[in-house]
Parts: sequence; structure tokens; C-alpha cells
Amino acid sequence: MMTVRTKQLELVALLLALAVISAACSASAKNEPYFGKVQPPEGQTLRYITGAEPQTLDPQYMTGQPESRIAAAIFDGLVEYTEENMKPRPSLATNWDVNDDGTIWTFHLRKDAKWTDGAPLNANDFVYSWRRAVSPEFAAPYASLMYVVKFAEPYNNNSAFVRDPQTGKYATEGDLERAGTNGPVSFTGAEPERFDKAPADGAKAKEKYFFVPADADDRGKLVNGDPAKNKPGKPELARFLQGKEFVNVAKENVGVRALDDYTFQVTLEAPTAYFVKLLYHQFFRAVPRQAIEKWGDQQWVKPSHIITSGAFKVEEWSPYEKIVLVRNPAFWDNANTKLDRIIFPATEQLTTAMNLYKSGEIDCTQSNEVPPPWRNQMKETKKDYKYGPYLQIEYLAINTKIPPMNDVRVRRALNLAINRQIIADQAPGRQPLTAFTPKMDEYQNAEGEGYNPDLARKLLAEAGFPNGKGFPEIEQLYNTAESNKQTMELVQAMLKKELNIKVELTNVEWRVYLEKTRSTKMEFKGLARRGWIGDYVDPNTFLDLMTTASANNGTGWADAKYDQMLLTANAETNNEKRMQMLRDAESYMLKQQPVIPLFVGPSSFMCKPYVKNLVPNLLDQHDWRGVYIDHNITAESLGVADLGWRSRFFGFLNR
Amino acid sequence: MLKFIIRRLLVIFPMVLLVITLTWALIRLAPGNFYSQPKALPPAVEKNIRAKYGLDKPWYVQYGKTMWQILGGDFGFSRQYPEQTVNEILARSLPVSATIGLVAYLIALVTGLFFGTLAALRQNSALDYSSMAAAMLGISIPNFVLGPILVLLFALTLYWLPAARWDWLVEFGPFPWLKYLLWGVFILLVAGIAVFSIYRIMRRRSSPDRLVEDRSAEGVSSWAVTIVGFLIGTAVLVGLGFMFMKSANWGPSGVAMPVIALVLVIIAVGVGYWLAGRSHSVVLESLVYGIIAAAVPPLLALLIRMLSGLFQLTAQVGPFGIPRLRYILLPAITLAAVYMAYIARLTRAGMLEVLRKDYIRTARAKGLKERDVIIRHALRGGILPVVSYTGPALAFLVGGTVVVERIFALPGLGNYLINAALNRDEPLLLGITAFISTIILLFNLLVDIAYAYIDPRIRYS
Repeated sequence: MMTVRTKQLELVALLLALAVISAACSASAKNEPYFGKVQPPEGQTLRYITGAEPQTLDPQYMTGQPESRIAAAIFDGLVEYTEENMKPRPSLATNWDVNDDGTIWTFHLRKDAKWTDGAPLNANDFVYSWRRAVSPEFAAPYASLMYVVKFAEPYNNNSAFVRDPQTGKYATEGDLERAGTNGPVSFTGAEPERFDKAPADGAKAKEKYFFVPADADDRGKLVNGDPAKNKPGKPELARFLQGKEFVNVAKENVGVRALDDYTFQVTLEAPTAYFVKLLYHQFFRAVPRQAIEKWGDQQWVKPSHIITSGAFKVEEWSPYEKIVLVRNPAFWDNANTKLDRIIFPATEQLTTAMNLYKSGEIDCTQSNEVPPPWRNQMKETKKDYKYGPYLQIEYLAINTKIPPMNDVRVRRALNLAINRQIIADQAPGRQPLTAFTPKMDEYQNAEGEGYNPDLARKLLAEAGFPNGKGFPEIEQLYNTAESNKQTMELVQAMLKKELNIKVELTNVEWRVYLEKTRSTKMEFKGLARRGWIGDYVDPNTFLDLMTTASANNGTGWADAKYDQMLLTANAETNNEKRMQMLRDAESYMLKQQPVIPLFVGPSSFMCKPYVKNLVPNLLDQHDWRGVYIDHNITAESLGVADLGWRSRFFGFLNR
Repeated sequence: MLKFIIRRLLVIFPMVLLVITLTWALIRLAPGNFYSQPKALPPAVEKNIRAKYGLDKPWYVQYGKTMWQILGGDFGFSRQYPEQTVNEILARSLPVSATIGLVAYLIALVTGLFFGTLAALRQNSALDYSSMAAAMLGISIPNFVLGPILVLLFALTLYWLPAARWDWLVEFGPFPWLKYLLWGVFILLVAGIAVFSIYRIMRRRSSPDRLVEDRSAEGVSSWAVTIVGFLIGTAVLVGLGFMFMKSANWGPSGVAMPVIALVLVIIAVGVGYWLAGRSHSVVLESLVYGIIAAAVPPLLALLIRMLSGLFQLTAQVGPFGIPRLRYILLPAITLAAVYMAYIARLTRAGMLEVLRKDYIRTARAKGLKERDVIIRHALRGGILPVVSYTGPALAFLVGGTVVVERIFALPGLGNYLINAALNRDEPLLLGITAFISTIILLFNLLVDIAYAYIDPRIRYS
């Protein structure tokens, strides 16, 4: 009995040994020019890792990049991405006009666009969708992106107009200013425009309306102060609001209107030159009213309920497993759509994604899916590692509210002590950054101050800390991640070496980090790591961060002049002039150094050689209609080792 | 016994409520919100969201509302995945975790028992030392190391198995109902056989003259061999059927599969009878018993696959299907390693103690075969530690294992649990913790009940 068993054990050991030897033999695959198997999938199917499990497929509720790529495939936009340069190109809107001052945009929609249930997609769908996007009940996290539209912000804020019942006039900000503490209270605003009606000519308010919270309690807090939050009240308002009516901002006040079924008109709060660049963002795409009203705000995105409008439609959504999209044959541009199927497997682990890529189970990944420590080697040895410029910046926010960082000399000294080249060299494609925006086609970013340790020491001494003497220990906050740690340790070492400043690194979990770095909290004694990925290809997506109103400012630095510079620049219709004005604003902000820019991240991902028309670009968004699989490109045609033979030989195991 | 069970069941309820309350309080105390994200929300939007989820109410109102909802069996909608209810997520992710967990535990149990017993029988031999050293290694290597090593070997170098992910076999033939019908018949058959064999074992146990083993009695041995033949036949052949099904591209496989299974069952029963007609030579019997160990896991794995398929049907969510074997193997083995090693050590210790007992000497003295002494007398006492370990181990395995599920990108409970905590997804976190604590308590109860059956000295009153 015993001998039989021992022999069985020997057999198992032998088999294991064989497996290991066989594994060792194929280790030669290391020198291959491509990472893992090169074997195109059957048919026009793309398997793409877009990151973690999508939160939702509702384009107006989603906030992450992973889901936004899926939204771009299933919902058609007024304009769409161009793969190479991310310029907006006409899609649902065939063309558009702008009025002279840049506030009224009229979009002419194509007449052959349909929802997947066969209903026509027209201007009324856009009116419904944009109103929903900023509705306070729906509470979309990205609502602020649409604040450029007239009255969208007060509607989303649950605000109310103030009306004088005697005269029927409405309060404007000018009226409040004129009333002051004891001036005359008289309202001058005409009735606010309602966009469900035809445009009325006649008196339009020249000044901005004055809004108060629609909720009586909140209004009371505004006037009398909020002891719970330690906010002072504005007692002068009491007189101003005495005996007045409050008219809630209604959804009809939001500046969107269907002139006819195929003409969609948007009225903006102020001239906004970059408006059309916003429109391919998923937040501005139309959602199906018929499905939402039938199934409710949340349930309509279920695969069995969802109605879409794009080149692809949802076939299957198995959460944490995959989303399968298939060609939508009724799509107006179906003839130019090349893929039949896109599969988005969900995975959160970078190494798991790489394993799947190497074993040929996926074809491409999103940007930054390659683990940072692998990148240098990948760049040197593998042809399917793709990288290019990306609208992603990394910087340190300085808490300008606490000393000694409230001194601009100290902030400049901190900035001058950083040798960005060293930080950028840690990963391929990173560009050192001294300004606050990456370089873009039309935009030459501001210069900012680079590495200059002598000047840094001089400034620090002027501020009263010669050779760092007496400088309090400051904190450097970042969210836990290996790549962040490396950067933060480099900065820590540089500040110590150049300025003799002691910096303590604090790493916290993601949600805690988000909470601590919020503009309203700013719970960090010194510096906080920040990263930002642009939403659209325009400097404003970065420069807007540093305005007083921005919830993402996170530095405590606020400057009315900077706000005004941005406003004026964005109202400028001459592009060249506008870019110069934005550059001036950026330089102005950088002179006060509320931030320490570090680097511009590259868009870098893996993509098998047989996938065509999918290239690194500024937003890491893709024009899915153009992507296709070239079946002529195989391991054989490329002359590389065919690693697929074993899986074919042992195919039975894979069933 | 019944009283004991009822009393224990009554305790489970308040315990779970306590766990829910503590979890609720802990997630309240954790900094950060489910709606916070890199692009910070303007205060107005944040206010809208808080109002939408009732977070602007005082804490006791929120707590009351949450508990009232949970008492009604509804955990509400997830915050992170707003269109899915927590119940839906549980129904969908449980079969995945349960399949991986049970398969892992079966692998661990069979190999662990086998090597543990062997080591105890050959104490201080080379076999003992090497298997215990291997067990020590298994305990020491964390699964986040073992998993990637297995992936590197089997997925990225040999290209035999997929590197990660999960897939359901969803194939509907022209007659989808036929698939369910045949599966139903198959399950009934297997269950019937199982019940019958348990009945045989129980009867033998309760017979007054059980110390006198009547080797010449016709039934016992031939029945045993029949069952074994049946089990092996079904398991191996159905397993092969699964493997070839898709590659053969042979008919609507959803229907073909159970047909193959049924045909094979008949063949297997025939083979069993043929085997039963032979004399019980030592070689034949040891061969048969040797194969049992190997045959049980695939068979039970299949059973689990079917059961989880049925679960999918009742849950009415996600695709109806059966998990594919190729995606189960690597995570299950990764998961099994630690438990395998632990069970081997527990079995060895238990067996060593039992083998010195008087009743073993008695059994040997009356001339029982060594095999019977080990399996019928020693093992029953020796595996008690393993049984008590099974409860918590199984509960943890079924409840999802965060690390393995993340390495292999599986849509299981563990993955949801960790993300619910990271995303401050309160309803989902409450749902999963409530579920996991319930099964831990239930499995512990089951272990206590099993104790009473295995060890005659234990009586609950």
C-alpha cells in the first residue's frame, strides 16, 4: 500500500518539476518586443480595461474617467472627441452659431438621430437633460460644470429671486449695493427670462440678479448668522428683504430652449469662449426622458431598461465583472463604426490588469494602468507601451492661511528649492512643470520660477529664517500610494537639503485625504499633494481651480483681481488675445505662489499592435467609432514568438 | 438538542443587530464621505446630496430609519452604485464567493486530511517531516504572494489558465427549459445517492454488533464500490464534458451538457456494478479509496456550480449560468493553501493523540484491517479539531476573501466589502457585515451540532 502511494507522490513531484522547467524555458520571452501574447481576438471585438467598476452608466451622475469612456460610446454628444488632438468635431450637432457677444449658442441637430427604442432624438431631449443635470433634487455631483448656463447655478443652489410686490421688479446686486446700510431700497430688475417661452424682446436686466436661499431657515441664517457654524450674519439684508416676495428659480429659468425640434439654443450667464469644448464631456450629453420617467432616476440605467443613443449599446452589465457593448445598427453613423463589440472588464489592481494584458485576455488599457515601477523598463523594451502628453498635473497646495506660509517669500522659497527634473525622471514621459497648466496647442503656458536654491535661501532669510533657523516643522499630506510616496519623499529631501526645513510626511487613506484637503477644511499644516486631470482641452480647466469660488482651490489663497482677469479673458472672443490674457492671469497667480507645481503626467498605456486608431491623447478619451482590429497583424506577421501555442495545445483546460 | 438549536438561533438575532449597530457607528465616526471625490463639490451641490440621502437629519433619526429598513429585510440602495440595491449585490456576489470558498475548502479538506493522517501514521518518518514542512510553508506564505506566483506560472508562462477574472457559462439552447429540467434530474440523482449512502453509514453505526466487522456480508463492500464507481465516473466524465463542451463546438452546449452527464451516469453505474463483482483484493480497494479522495472535489465543485446557478435563477439578477471551471482553479488553490496546511497539522495532532488510545489497540487486537482501524475508528476521533475549525474557516471562505478576490478580479463579496469601506458606502457595508456575521454564527452552530453526531461523548441538553 505504502509503495503505491509513494510512487504517486513521486509522479506528482515529477509533473511539478516538469511544469517549472517548462516555465523556465519560456523565460526567454523576456526579450520579446511586445508584452505577452499577440493574438487578435475573433471578429471586431475590443477588450479594453477602463479601470474600476463603473459607478453608474448615467452620464449625468458619473464622475470618474472609467465610466466616462463608456458613456462616450453609448451616448452621442453634440460634439465628439477627435482621437488625435481632442478637438471637438460635429456629431449630433451638424453646425452651430454664436451671437456677437458669445452668450447665445444655437445648435442645429441632425434629423436622423434616434434613441435605441426608435424614438427620435431632438432638441427637446437636450432641454430635458440639461435641466435635469442641474436640478437640485437630482443632485448631480458635476452640476457645477454647467454653471456657465444662465440661471443654472441659482437653480441648482435652491435659490430664489427677490421680488417687490408693489412694483413687480426684481432685486439685482446693484440694488443691494445702492441700498447699502441706509440708502433707498428700490428694485430695478425686469422679470427674469423664462426659457419655455419664446424670447421676449424688451427690457432685460443689465445687472446680475440678487439671489437668496429659497429655504426660509437658510435665509434666516444668512441674515442673522449661523452660530452653529460660527458664521456672521448680514443684518443690513433684513431691511432690504423686508416685505418682499421670494420667487424660486424654476427649471424653466435655466437657459436652455428648443427653438424647434432640431434647433437647441443655450443662453450663457456670461460670454464663454471655451463653451463648445465643454460639450463632449459626458455631463452635457442627452439622456432618455422616456426611460428615466418610466424607471426613475436610478433604475433606468439597468441593462434591461437603458435606452441609449450612441454608436454602441449595452448588451450586458455584470457588475465587477464586465460591461459588454455591441454595435448599434440604427445609429446614424453606423457605416463608419468599425468595432462590433467592446468589452470592458472591471479590475482595480494594476498588476491584475497587466496579467490579463500579458496573457492576451485584453487588448488595451486606460492610461496609468501600468504600475509606475514598471514604466521605465516597459518604455525601453516593449513596443506596445504607448505614451504621449496628457492634461494631468501634479502639484503641492500650500496652506496660505497659516504662518509662515502666509508670507509670499516663504512660498517662493519652497518652490525654488524643488528640483523638478529629478522628480520627472522617475517615470517616462513626465515633464517638469513650473507653471500651473500643461502646454497646449494654442496655449503657451506661463513660465513660473524653476530650481534656484540660492535665491530660495536668500528669500527664506529675508522672511526671517536664515538657513531654516526657527522655521516650524511643517506637514506634507498625501494620499496613500506608492508613486505618491516616492514623489513626496523626494520633495521632503530637497526641502531639507536646500533650505534645512524639516517636513513631516503624513499619508492618509483616500477619503480622509479628500476630506482634509477640502477648501472649506484645509486640515494640513503646510503642504498637500494635489493632482488634476483636465475635463476639456482649455487652460480654463486648470486656471479656474484657483478662483475664490472654486471648491477645489484648497490653498486658502483668493484674489479678486485674479478672478476678474479670468472672467475678462473668458469673455474675449478673439482666441489669440484670450490665450494671452489667460497667460497673464496664470503668471499673476504664480507670482504669489499659492502652489508648487511639480510635473505634467503622460498618458501611458499598453495596447496590442493589432488595435488601430487608439492613440495616447490629452484627455485619454477615445473616439470609439474609429477604433478597429487589424487581423493581418499577428505574432507571425510581426515575426515574434507565438506564445499562443500552449493555450491552443492545452485548450481543453481553458474551456 | 432541538432546544439547544432554538436557543442558539434566538441568540443570533440580537447579535447581528449589535454588529450592524457597531458597524453603523464606526462608519459614522470615520472621516470622509461617500460623495467626496477629487473634483470637490460646491457647497450647494453637497447640500443637495445630503438632503437627498437624509444626512441632514439628526443621527438618531437616521439610525432609526436605517434599522427599521433593515428589520424589513431591505438594506436599501448602495451609495456608490446608486442603481443597485444591496440585496441585489449580495445575491450576485455571494455565489461567486461561495463557489470559490467551498471549492477551496474541499481541496483543503481532502488534501489536508490525507497528508495529516499519513504523517500521523508514519510519525517521525521522512514523509512526516516533509509534509509538515510543506504545511509550515503553506501557512507562512501569504496568499498575496502565492496567488501571483501561481498566476506567473500557470497563466503568464505556461498560458494554461486565465490570469484573472470570472465568467458565467451562459448558453441558451433552443429549449432553455430542457437545461433546467435535466439539471434538476441530475441534482436529484446525486442527492439521492448521497442520502442513501449516509443512510447506509448511519445504519451500520447503530447496529449492535458493529465491533464485529462481518467482512463476508454481501452488501457493504459491493455497495461501497458501486457508489465509488458512480462518483468517480460522474465526476471525471462530467468534468471532462465541461472542459470539452465549448471547444468541441458541438451543438447547443447548454442542452448537450446535462445529456452527456446523464449518459455518463448510466455508464458509471454499470462500471460500478462490474467492479462490485470482483473480489476485494487489497490492491483494488486501496485503489478505489485512493481515487475517492481525488474524485470528491470535482464532483462537489460541480454540485456547487449547479447550486450557484440555481441561486442565480432565484435571485433573478445577472446572467443565469454556471461558473466556468477555468476561472475557479487558480483562486481556489491560492485560497486553499493556508487551510490545507492548517488542516494537515490539526489532523496529524488529532490522529497522534487518538492512535494511542485503548480502543484503537482493541480494534487492532481483534484483527481489524489497518485501513478499517484508521478510517472507522481513529479518524472519527482524530478529526474533531478539524471539525471545530471548519465552522469559522468555512464562514470566512464563503464570506469572501478580500485579497484573493482582488488579485483575481473576482466579483465576490470580499471585493464589495473592501470597496464599501473605502467608499463609505454605508448601506452596502451594513448589508455585507450583517450577512457575514450571520453566516459565521450559523456555521458555528452547525459545527456544534456536528460535534454531537461525531463524538458520542458530547450531548447538548
